[in-house]
Amino acid sequence: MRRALVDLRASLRIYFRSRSGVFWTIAFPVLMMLVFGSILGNAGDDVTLGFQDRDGTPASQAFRQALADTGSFDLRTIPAGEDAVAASRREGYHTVVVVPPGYAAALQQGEAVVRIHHDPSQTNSNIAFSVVRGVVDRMNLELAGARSPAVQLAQESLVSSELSFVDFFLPGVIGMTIAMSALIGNLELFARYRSQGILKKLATTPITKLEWVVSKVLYQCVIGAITATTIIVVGVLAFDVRVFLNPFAILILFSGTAAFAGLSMMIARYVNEQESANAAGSAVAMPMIFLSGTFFPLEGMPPLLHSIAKVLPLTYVNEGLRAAMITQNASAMAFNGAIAAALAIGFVLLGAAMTDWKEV
Amino acid sequence: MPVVEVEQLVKRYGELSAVDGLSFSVEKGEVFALLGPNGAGKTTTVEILECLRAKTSGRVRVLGHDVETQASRIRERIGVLPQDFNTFDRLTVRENVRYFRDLFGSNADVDELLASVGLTEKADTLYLELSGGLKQRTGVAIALVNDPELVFLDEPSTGLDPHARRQVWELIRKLRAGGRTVFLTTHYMEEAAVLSDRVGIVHRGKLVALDAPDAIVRAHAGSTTVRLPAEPGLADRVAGWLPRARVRVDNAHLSIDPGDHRLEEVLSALASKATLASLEVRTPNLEDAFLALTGERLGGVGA
Repeated sequence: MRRALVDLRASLRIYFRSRSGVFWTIAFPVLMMLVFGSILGNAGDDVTLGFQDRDGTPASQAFRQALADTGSFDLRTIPAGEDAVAASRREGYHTVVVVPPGYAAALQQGEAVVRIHHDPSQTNSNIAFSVVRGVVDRMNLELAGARSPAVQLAQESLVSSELSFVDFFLPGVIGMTIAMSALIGNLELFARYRSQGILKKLATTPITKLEWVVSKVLYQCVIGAITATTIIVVGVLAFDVRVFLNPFAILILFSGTAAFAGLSMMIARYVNEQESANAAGSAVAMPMIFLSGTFFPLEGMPPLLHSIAKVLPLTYVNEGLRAAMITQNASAMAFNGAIAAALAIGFVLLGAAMTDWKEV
Repeated sequence: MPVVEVEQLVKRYGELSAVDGLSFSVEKGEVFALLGPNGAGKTTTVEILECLRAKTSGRVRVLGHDVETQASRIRERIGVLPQDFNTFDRLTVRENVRYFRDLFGSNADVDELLASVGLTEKADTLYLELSGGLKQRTGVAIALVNDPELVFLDEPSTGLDPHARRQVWELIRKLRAGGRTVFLTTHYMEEAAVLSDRVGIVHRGKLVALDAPDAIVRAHAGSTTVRLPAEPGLADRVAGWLPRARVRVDNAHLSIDPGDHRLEEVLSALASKATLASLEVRTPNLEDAFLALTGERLGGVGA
């Protein structure tokens, strides 16, 4: 295996000198994280709500506190002297609550009015409207003498322990990147070396096919580790993702990488032209990336797609990484990890057996 | 014991026989060339010797080992410059040579190797940035990392400009001077003629001649002829002066084959008796031999 390490060292040196390699394995996944994370990651965040207290009494402050206690709002105070509508236009608030002067007194009479300005074209504004109405209803109930509401809504996320989109997305980006690099990248490299005659030259040296395949697998694992580290750092710094690192996460990352590298060696057997390598790699990798729960949870998919996902190796990598890094679901980690490891061993051995440097 | 022994080598692809019953041997320390046009079966033959291709039938031994059962022992002791050689673009010349040296587990001095092929100044240049001639020289350095006894060079100067080609020839001469056996394939007549001790001419998978280049020419390409512009009646007069010469007229030129006259006799007869506007003494070469043997031209640029 000494020769595999010689080849690994050269491969890494070549990788760091290739701008496109570094782009696809580091810059591209980081961009994916930043773009999709910013677009979709904020959906669960607090809604901005402008609040103007023109009454300035304990009662009006209690109302503000009731809104704050819902935990749904990012409350922004508009000074009492300003025109609330103008201020919210200026600040870009889509929903504003105004407590008029004399609110406390009117409340005593049971005739208090709180004004809400909202923009029905904005989803968030409609949500804000409902929440504010809920707060008002509850206050009315309390004032009417009900000790506690007869019916309560207990809120829980469908995903365990309140997974945000970015929490879900981060392991998927890692899975996607290793699939792209180990499958498409490796296949392209193989086809290039074959068309340049480098494989033929290697066949005249003592390095064996297995050593060469092992080197390529190790190479992809190193790149996978660099990629995963970069993505995790971006996830933690930019989106506050809580990532757990444990041996299972590392096992699944390396198993997935090895499985895809092995798979690419199997496909390489049938790809002769350098030009068709990229197409063949993409034809396998892209549908797999979309159908294996990389971007969307599998639970939401129709039964047919669900069955397809079950035969895609990336599914187990994505689910396994998610279980190990985010949800800490021990049985899912072990199950997906075992499948990924089995695929890795099988594909690498098959890939080495099917690799052919020589012509017959 | 010969370094290479080939007996009745056959390589078939379906119906096509790329190599059709070749037999030859290569002795230690010689430069041996397989000469023939593209598609004659040279590369197929050499790749079977390099253990890169499987043969259909025949017996092939390299350095005393069987190419099929003892390939790894052969590989350790041969150096190979494949046809259209390439190595890693984004490694420097030195890194490339070191890579192959390390694969062989050899302790050859990389800088010494680079100096021997004249690449010291380019040692830290990326392979990608080299000219064709320098790339070939890198390939020769790589072929030498395991200090091989036998070096295979498959079309080493194809695609190179005349200057770079001559530099590759210099390297081949150095290999021979260093005591290595060199197995060369080429479709350049001149390359085979100036470099090799013996040449095997291959045509459609068959060996049509096998000998020292001069001997092949003497045996198959006729003798030196003298050519001069034809004038009315000149042919008859020359025939009178040189009765045992053969005189032919073609393309408004007189072609005189001295027969058993000495060349000096022919030249002095012409000098004293005819008015010479121009005169050409033409020594036949391997190209002529190839034409005589196969009825076809080699077609190489150097021919």
